[in-house]
Amino acid sequence: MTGHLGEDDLILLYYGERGAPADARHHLRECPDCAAEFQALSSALDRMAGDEVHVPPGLSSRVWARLQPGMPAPRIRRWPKPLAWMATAAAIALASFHLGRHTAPEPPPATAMETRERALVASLGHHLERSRMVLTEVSNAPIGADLSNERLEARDLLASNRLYRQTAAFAGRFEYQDLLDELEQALLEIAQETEPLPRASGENLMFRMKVIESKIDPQEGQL
Amino acid sequence: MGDTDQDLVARVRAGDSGAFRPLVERHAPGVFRLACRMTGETDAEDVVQETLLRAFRQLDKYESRSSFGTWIHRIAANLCFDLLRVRARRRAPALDDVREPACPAPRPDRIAIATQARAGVLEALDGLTVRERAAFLLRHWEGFGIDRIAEVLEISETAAKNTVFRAVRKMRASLAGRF
Ligand SMILES: [Zn+2]
Repeated sequence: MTGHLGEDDLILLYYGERGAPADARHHLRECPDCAAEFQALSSALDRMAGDEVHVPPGLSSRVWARLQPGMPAPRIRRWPKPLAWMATAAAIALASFHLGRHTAPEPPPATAMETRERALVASLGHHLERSRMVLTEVSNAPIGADLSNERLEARDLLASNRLYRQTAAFAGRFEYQDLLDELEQALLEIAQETEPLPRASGENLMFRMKVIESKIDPQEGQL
Repeated sequence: MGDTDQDLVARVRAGDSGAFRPLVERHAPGVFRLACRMTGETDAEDVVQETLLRAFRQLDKYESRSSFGTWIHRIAANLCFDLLRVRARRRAPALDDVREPACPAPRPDRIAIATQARAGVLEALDGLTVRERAAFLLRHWEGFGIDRIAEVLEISETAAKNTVFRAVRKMRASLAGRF
């Protein structure tokens, strides 16, 4: 081998990756310059290795507990369903909520659950977008601005928000349920509040709404 | 329990959704560490939840060409990228190569707990692009080989290698004064 080892070679050696020159290890033993360079790289990287992420206790159990309700019962196979039937079923599932049937007499079969969930996700994006606009308006409005339109809109959104939240709870989609819970609080504050209006919508809430919106695939109406 | 990931995947596919639980237990911590270093602590658990939910739902798309762990990390990395993209879009238009604080807006209790070295590492991570950060933390902390990193990031091995090189150089440069 002719020249010294480059930094890239040293990085490969440090991590035990393939791709460094065949006699790189030998060169390291023979060449004090490269050995010093390798020593410097190693000690810098070794020190970074001490930065450990603390995994919160009970993480796996929580994740599993939230996953379970959305899982199909064992040994139920999901067959492809005709689209027209799906659309009708989705409409009925949603309509049944409008009619106030908030509790099912029995746990629904997986297919009904899926259908309801599809309907939920398909229209949730639009609801979140509208809500976000109201929250943005309110939090950007100067003190003392007339927010009566926003209050009306918030009241309107509140009704549908409750519906979405119930559907999400029913489908076991806790990530939506939690978000919609929080959103309901924010909308409620806007709808009812006399001056001064809260800035309670919160960065985090807005952010999570955007994230969920961005996750919804408009073509599938599903995650 | 002696079941391999592949055994468990096969059982879930056959309809035994309970077999997914050991997969959650095995992979949730690693995904959490990735998400925490990518998006910050606040959203890390959400990323884990969403990753495993997607993995469960898309299990029929999983091909055993790559390991289940690699596949899960790919889902998680993509979720992190989405999240960072959304955050960046909220702040500034169309950033092609997004940079995002590794642990944005640390809370006071975090700062108190963090050692100076840790703060330095977080700051240095902030200087990387999201892809460099993912490549670096998978290589450095999670012990992923270049070939697996390439699979997670869906890039060539050469690109993965170069991404790691760039990341290491940047990390060293920004930590040079600290250590
Ligand atoms: Zn040399």
